[in-house]
Order: sequence, then C-alpha cells, then structure tokens
Amino acid sequence: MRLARDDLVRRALDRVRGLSASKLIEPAPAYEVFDRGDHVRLVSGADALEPGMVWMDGADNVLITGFNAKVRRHCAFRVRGRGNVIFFGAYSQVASTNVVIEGNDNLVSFGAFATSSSSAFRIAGDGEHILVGDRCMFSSRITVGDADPLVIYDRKTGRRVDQRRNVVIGDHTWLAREVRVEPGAVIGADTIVGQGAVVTGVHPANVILAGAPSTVRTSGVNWSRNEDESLDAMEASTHYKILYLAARDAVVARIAGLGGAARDESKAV
Amino acid sequence: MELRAAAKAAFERVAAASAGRLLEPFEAYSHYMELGGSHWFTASPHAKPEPATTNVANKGDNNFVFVGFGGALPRVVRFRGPGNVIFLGPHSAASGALFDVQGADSLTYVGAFTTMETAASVFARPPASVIIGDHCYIGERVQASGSDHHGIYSLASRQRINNNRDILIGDRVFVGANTRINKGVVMEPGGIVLGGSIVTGTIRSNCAYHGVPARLIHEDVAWGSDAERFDDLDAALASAEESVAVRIDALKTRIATFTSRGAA
Repeated sequence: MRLARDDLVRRALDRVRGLSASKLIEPAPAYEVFDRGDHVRLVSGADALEPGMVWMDGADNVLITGFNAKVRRHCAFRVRGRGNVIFFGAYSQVASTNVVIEGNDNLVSFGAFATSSSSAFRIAGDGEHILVGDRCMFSSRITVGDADPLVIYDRKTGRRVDQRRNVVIGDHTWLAREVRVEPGAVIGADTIVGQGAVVTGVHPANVILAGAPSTVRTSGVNWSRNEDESLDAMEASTHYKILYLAARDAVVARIAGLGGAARDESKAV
Repeated sequence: MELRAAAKAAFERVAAASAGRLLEPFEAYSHYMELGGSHWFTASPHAKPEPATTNVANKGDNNFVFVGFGGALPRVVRFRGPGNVIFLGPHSAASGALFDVQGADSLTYVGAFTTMETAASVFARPPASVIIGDHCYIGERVQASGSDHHGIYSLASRQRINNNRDILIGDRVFVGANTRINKGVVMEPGGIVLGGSIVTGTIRSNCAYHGVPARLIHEDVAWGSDAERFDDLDAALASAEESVAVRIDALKTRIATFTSRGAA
C-alpha cells in the first residue's frame, strides 16, 4: 500500500535530517512537491535543474534537491525498490553522477555546497545509507558503495561477517580522481583522499588518506578549493567570504525563515 | 615588444631547458600562425588547422607554441594566463594530446620523437614546468600535473604544504596508458612505468615500476616496441625502425645547417 504523499514527504525529510551529517537541510515548507508517477520529487528554489534520467521502479521513492542545487544533465538515478530517498543539499553541484539503488528504505544524501564531477553512488540492500557531508569535493570517476548484493557469512556461527555496509563521509572532504569508497567506510571531516585510493574501515578527521587499501599518510592537515598560500589567505579570500560564507548565511536565514533550525554553528574552514 | 623578438626570448627558455637534446635553432621556426590569440611558430609549414583539429583557448598575452620540424599540432591547447611557452619537439607526435596551462610564465617541453597518445594531458601550473625528454612514449589518457589543483594546509603552521612542483621526464621514458604523474615527479632516462599507475617521487633510470603508488618491479631493463634486446639508447635506435634513424640523421643535418648559417 502506498503512503499518503504528505506522510511520505515528512518521513523522507525526517530520514534525511535524522541521519545526515549535513547541517543545512531545509524543512518541508521549502519544497514544492511533484508527483512524478514512479517517484515523488521535492524541489527547493525556482531555478532547479533536473537530472537527465530518473528511473524508479517501485513505490514511495523520493528525490529531493535543496535550494539552488544544480543536479545537471548526464546524471542518472536508477532505483528499484520501495521507500528509498535521494537527497542533494542546497547549493550542491553535481554533474555526470549516477545513483543506483537496489532494495528498500535506503538513503543517499549529498551535503550542501558539495560538488561532484563524475561519481557513482551504489547501494544494494535494505535500510542502508551513504551520507556525504557538506562542502565535500568529489573529483572524477569516483565510486561510493557497491552494487553487488553480497553478504559474507561465518560458516561456524551462520552470522554475517560484514555487518557494516553504510558509508559516511564527513564534512569538507576532498576525494581525488578514481577513489573507491568501499561499503562500511567512514571518512572523517576535512580529509583528503589521494588519487586511486580504495578506502575501507574507519578514519579520523584532518588527514590525508592514500593507497589501496588506504592508510593515513599525513595528519593535522586541511585543504581548500583555492590555491591560496595559507589558511589565513584562504579565509580572507573573496571566494570563501562571498561564494561560501555569504551563501551559507543565506541558506541558514532561509531555513530559519521557514521555521527550521540550521545546526551549522561551527566555524568551517 | 615586437613579436619576433618576444618569440625569440620565449624560445631561449626552450633552449635553456633542452639541455643538449635535439633542438633546431630559433631560425628554423619560420612559419607563423595565430590561433585564438596565441602565437604559433612551426619549423615545417602547417596548414592552419580546422577548429575541430586543434582547439585553442587562449586567455592571456604573449603565449607561444613552438612545433619542431615534422612535429604534429596537438588536439587541445588551453592558456589561462600570460607569458607561457609550449614546445613540441621535431618529429614529436602529440596530435591527440591536451595541454592545459593556468598561470603565468610556465614552460612545457616535449622532446624530439616523443609520442603522446590520444588524450594524454599535461597540466602546467606555474611556477612549475613540465619537461619531457626525447624519444619518450606517453600512453593514452596519461595525465601529468604539476599541481594538486587545490591547496592542502598544515593545521600547525597554517601554510600550504602542496605547492606546485616541476615534472621532469628524461629521455626514452615509457609511461603506460592511464598513468597519473604527480607533481614533483622525476623520471630518469630509460625509466618505465606500466599502465594504470600513479607515480610519485622518482623513477630510476632503466627500472620498471607499476602500481598505486608505482613501485619498483624490475631493475636494469630497457623497453622497445619489438626488438628482443637493447644495450643502450644508440643501439636501441639503431635497431629500431630504420626510418627513425634516417630522420634523426636528417634532423642533425638540418640543425647543423641552421647553426653554420647562423655562424656565418
């Protein structure tokens, strides 16, 4: 039985808000709701772009894009199952990015101000999630998760060996070209993942990860999109002050105006 | 500055970087064309290419491209910034390659007889230069970048720790398809990197590397297309295609002609 549309919208947004590390998630009144037949589409802001291909086989699947999110052509979202949610946060910019979900009640959440130039997010399972924090930067040919419906069992106990299949990528993390993030991986905030790395396991914040499987190569670092000479120069730059801080404040104000509560009180770099 | 004089000054930077490699003197670069506002001097007459053949995006003054005798025009050249120089050596074959320069006063050097396959890309980010020697093979979709394109900072000092660095590739180096060459890489003459690798640090002379990151897999080796063994570069070239040896001789004669004419 299909859920009533209002219930579906509320449940999807609660799910995103409850799980996501993203601190800039607009409340329900921000969105215009469209019934697309095979899925429900929530759009915030007038100048939203539509992905090239959305194919959802099943029921109660929801696609949400936040304020001014640019989900460009050449993006393809394929979902087979029920109750799945795909979320792209405010001011996110996504091109040539695929989301493939096979199963029920899964969530792929891509944070506010995050960008992706060609990535694939894959989930095969039920109740799993891939969470990408705010302001992440995904380079080209990145794979997150795994489309194989693989479960490994211990032959003695009969229990699952690989319990963890959810992926969590912290705020402001830079994934370089051809990185693979395996199911179960947790990447901390302000981290750099080097080219071609295969990330498994749990990693702290402010590090450089590299290699296959990846290990921590350097600790105590941070990065920026600009090539400024120092963090101080970066924080003084127009790029940071206007394009990020001012836009973020606008989103925070928008969320507050709509009766929501932004949780972004941290001083982000 | 008058164009020819500016070109000569730019070419002197090429000559300084050539370090004794096969290089015709500036007088040989007698054919001029302007592509997208950048200045191209070639040693053999190239027809002005169709936009579909060579795609030039130029933002900046005083950007020069020199193409040696028999060298191919590359597929894509992008200049974002002034005073940059790209040199493609005599008989180099980089017709499918991409050169992307962002910043000012950089030098990109591709040596004589070097092949760059389709979609092989060089990203020059000043002040770093990219120097590729003679007789190299750069496979399809290889990307060589003198920069990480974004800043990485130490939290302790708050200073940038990933500054742009030169890429220096010696003579007769083989780089397999899809390999990424990071900033600061030095490849010594005769070095070999198998396809799909990520190169950091130094590739030693006559050693083969593979992997992510590229690791040593063979020592004391040489590469060639089909011959069974090579003793050194001269022997390799002697036993390689005869046409190459003929063209090298012809090129040396050509260089000598220009040099003696200049002396006289």
